[in-house]
Amino acid sequence: MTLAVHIHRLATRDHTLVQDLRFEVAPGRILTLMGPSGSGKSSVLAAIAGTLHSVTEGSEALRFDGAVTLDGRDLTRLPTAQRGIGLLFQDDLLFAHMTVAENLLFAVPAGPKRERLAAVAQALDEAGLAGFGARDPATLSGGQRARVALMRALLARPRALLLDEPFSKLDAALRDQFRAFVFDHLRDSGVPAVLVTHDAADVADPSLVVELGRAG
Amino acid sequence: MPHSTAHLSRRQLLLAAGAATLTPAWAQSGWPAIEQAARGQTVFWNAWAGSEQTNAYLQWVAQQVQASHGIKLQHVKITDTADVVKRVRAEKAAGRTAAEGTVDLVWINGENFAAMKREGLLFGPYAETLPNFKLVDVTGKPTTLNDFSVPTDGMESPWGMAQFTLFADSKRLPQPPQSMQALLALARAQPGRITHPRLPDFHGTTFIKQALVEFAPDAKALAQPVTDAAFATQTAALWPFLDALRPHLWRAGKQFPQNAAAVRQMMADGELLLAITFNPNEAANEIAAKRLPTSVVSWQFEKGTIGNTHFVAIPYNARAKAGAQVVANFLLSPAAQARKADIAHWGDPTVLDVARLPATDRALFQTGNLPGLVAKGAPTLPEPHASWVDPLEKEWARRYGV
Amino acid sequence: MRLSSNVSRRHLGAGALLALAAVPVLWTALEALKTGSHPAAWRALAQDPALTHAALLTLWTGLASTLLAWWGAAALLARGFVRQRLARLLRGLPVMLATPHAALAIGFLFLLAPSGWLLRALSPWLTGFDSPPPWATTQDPWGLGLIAALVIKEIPFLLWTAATQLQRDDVRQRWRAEHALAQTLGYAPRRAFWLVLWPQLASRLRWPLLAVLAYGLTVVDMALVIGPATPPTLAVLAWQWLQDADPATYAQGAATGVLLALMVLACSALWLASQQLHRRALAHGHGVRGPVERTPGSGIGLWLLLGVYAAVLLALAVGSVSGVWAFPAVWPQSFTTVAWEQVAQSSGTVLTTLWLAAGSSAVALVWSVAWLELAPRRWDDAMRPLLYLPLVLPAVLWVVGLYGVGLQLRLEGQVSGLLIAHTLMVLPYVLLSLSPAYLGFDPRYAQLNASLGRSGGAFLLRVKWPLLKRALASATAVGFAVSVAQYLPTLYLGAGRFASVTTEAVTLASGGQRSLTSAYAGLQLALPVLAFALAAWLGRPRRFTHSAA
Repeated sequence: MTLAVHIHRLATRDHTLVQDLRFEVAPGRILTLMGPSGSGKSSVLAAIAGTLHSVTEGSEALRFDGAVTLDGRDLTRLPTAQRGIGLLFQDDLLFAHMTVAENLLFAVPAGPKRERLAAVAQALDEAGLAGFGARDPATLSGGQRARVALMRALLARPRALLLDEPFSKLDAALRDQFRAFVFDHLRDSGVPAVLVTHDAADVADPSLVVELGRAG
Repeated sequence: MPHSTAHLSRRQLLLAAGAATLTPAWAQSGWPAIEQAARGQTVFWNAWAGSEQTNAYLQWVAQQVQASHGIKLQHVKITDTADVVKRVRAEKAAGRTAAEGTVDLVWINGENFAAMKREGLLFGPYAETLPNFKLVDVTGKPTTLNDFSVPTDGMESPWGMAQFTLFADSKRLPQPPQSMQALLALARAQPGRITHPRLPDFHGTTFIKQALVEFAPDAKALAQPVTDAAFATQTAALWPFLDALRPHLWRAGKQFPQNAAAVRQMMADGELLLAITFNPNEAANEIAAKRLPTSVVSWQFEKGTIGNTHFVAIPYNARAKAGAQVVANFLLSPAAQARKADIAHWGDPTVLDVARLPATDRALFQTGNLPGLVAKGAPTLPEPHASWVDPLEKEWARRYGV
Repeated sequence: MRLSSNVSRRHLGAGALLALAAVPVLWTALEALKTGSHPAAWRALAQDPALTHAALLTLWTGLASTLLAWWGAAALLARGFVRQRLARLLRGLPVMLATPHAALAIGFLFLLAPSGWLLRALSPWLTGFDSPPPWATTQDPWGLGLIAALVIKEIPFLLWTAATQLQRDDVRQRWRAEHALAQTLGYAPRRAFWLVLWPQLASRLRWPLLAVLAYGLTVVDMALVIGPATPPTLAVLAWQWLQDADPATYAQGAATGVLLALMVLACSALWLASQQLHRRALAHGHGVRGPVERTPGSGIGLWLLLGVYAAVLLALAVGSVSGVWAFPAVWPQSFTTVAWEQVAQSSGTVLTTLWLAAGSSAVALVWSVAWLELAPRRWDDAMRPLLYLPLVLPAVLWVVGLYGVGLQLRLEGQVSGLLIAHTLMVLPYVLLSLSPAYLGFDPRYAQLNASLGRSGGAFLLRVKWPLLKRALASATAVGFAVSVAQYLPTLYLGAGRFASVTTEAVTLASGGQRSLTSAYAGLQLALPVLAFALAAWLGRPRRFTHSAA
């Protein structure tokens, strides 16, 4: 399941954010996308996931010229829901009206109830949050919420995963711990991942780094 | 002997004192004093305002009394006179004294008047002291002294006449029915095209009263206050008639329109054959206003239809009692009555005895031959006593209202 | 020290505001309950033959119309949100919101009646009818006409209150992001809306929904025009009994009003409980991702709604100049401008309506802003039911209380009494409209302001209120529209001294002249529309002349 991205041009009406960007990510590998603020990192992720229109509601629309292929399949024309690409935002965005377990359950694909519940329980265990299922997400700490968000993204069995500065909201100690947690799970799950950050310490694989220039 | 004289003089004193407190000083010194006191007063006249003609006429009256007597007449537009009754009653219950009310003059008749009179909510007697009252046709129009068979006792001054009238488009209805029985036959022939407003709307109530008067074995008993026995006897033939009529009514008698205006609109649209009204000149008014085609005719049943008088009364706590009386007097003047009776302005029939008026005044009352006027007037049947209305409405509601 | 005195000053202010609003509301409610609690009246009510049928009819029409309006609004919102066309959806709302209830009912009636426009358009060439058919299309015994009219009137209101929630600063972007996130988890956009956004949105729409439910159960003017008449709904019965001069019947009417209030309470509890159950049932979800193909042609809902409003307004416009207009003519056979001439002569009532509406909405706005600024969150949450009481109490009962209080205070027929009565009715609406935006205002702005060393007053004037311009303006417009539509309070507390456009319209409607009624409905409509237009203009966002480099 290789993720191949080619961005010919990502631009607003007035100026171009990104031009001629190409990269490939093999299964289980993590590509790091770096660059200063304003260089369009989040927009690149949005273009890959197909959520461009949502991200730019109200401001000028972004136009994307290029191709996204996953395992040889061209995803460029597909709506977000059909791409199978997971997205982890900076904010954990746990749904406020659902408990932790319901948030996780939301992501599990359809199937027999018992199996779904078992998958959720296992995910909680792996995140070290066993017994937190019935809790209101607002009562969890930042680190705990970040873990739940990641598990939620993984439970949906994505074929690729995009992470938008997932560690920026955590303090230094928690950062290292969580980073190791994320990289381990990603490698185990065997999906290609793209990580956006401006912190060099977040690089997972030094051979897979792409630098985005300043806004042109 | 000395004892009785002292007793008499004390009683006389008491009576005089009582009279003095009940009637203001000016009433004791005659009409000119009243006119004097009325100058500069503002009179709030609460009157139904559902038609442009009425409103325009009241505006004219306001201009006239301003010019001639310096009275500022304000037309307070109301939808239902019962509101005024409730308001005055509430004011009395809240302890408003005899000069703190919000209503100075009210357009009223029937059970509303009976209620106000009974509860002491009215100022008076004043009507027969009005100079123009002598022009009223009390013999030819007995309802000017008896409102729904309740004596007015001078507590209200007559203003206009009303008679239950029907009107229809002669193109759709060439043979107007001349009695309730004929109406039933018509309903059988053309089902679903006749109806009356739902009781307790007063047009609907009058429709039932008309049937009652036609079917009651002894019409004179209706002038007496109602008793259970009398009610049972007099309505014995009424309910079978209504039962027979009901399935042929509009919507099979399961729904009734809210008021006479709705009935008239449906008649204009062609959904109903005929409409009912209290103003014999209403159809002519509507034709003149181009809201009904010229082929519409009005008629009253041959043997007569229920008629009554409508009045103006003064609440006990009116602030401008003098002004109100002056206005009431003006309303009885030939000029005002003639303009009111004129189709071009309103078309409400007069309470005056036109034949006895001087020739110049009589000339004001010429009626032309306008389309929609009642071709042949029918006798006015007196209203049943006001106390019959409530039991009739309740029984009708019990039988047909659900 | 200084902090605590600041806090207690706020508490004092909030307490004073609360007293100012709560005392009249409670007093009125108590007065109404007192008038409606005579045992004799309740006995008479229990024995009335029409009671059961009317009560069942009321429950049916109220619940059905609220349910349909709720689902309709939800469906329209889903589509608008997913398609990113919310702004377009909301653009037509002011006109729909400004249409007076009675005018809508009259116009709708004219469309549907057996002699109405729809049938005229189809007769006699399609239907072969020469005179109106005896179909029960209006005043039908099941109240379907009333339900339809209520649904058409309430959907814009629900849409509008949902819009105020969707436009809150604090959740607007977050909800968009959550929606995108749900799609990355594989959910189709429509389903993502229903599972993720709608539960959060719906829980914030509780009070508007209860207001809609209360209105559906207790509406008088629409039920009079288009609802069944034999027997009518319970609210119409109460209204007719309250009209009666006989004190016993009046007390019976007041008792019916209390019964209606109890029904509203019971139905609200039932609704909220069933919503909870529904939520719990959905909690586990089944992970079904939803259909992926675009549902074709489902823009029909919005077009249908707009189309009905347009047809009603057109019917009113044509009716206002119609003379003789018999079936099956599609257009009037003669035209007359008499009705509009009469309207032109009633400039006095327009002035009265304007100052009443402007005054009451201004007072309500000032009070609401002060309350939202000063009141601690706990107080606000606790006191909202009390402040919203005029919204959910039946109007027929409310006015009984208002009049009683007015009499006691000798306020009837006074300008102050009338203004107070209107403000009491307008306040809940203004508060309801303003709260979402005001409470959702980012608190960091205030902290930022303090850190820059500026005073609280400067912050309000130069930062907060300008940023909330749109919400403030549209809340005032809503208050204005509500005041214009007040009939019973103006009638009773004006003691006939003051006539507003609405009292004129209803009085004239009792004379049944179609042209006059339609013309006055047009006037009734024009004033709130102008208010909304003014609000939209005042609340427009600043145009920056410098575009991005």
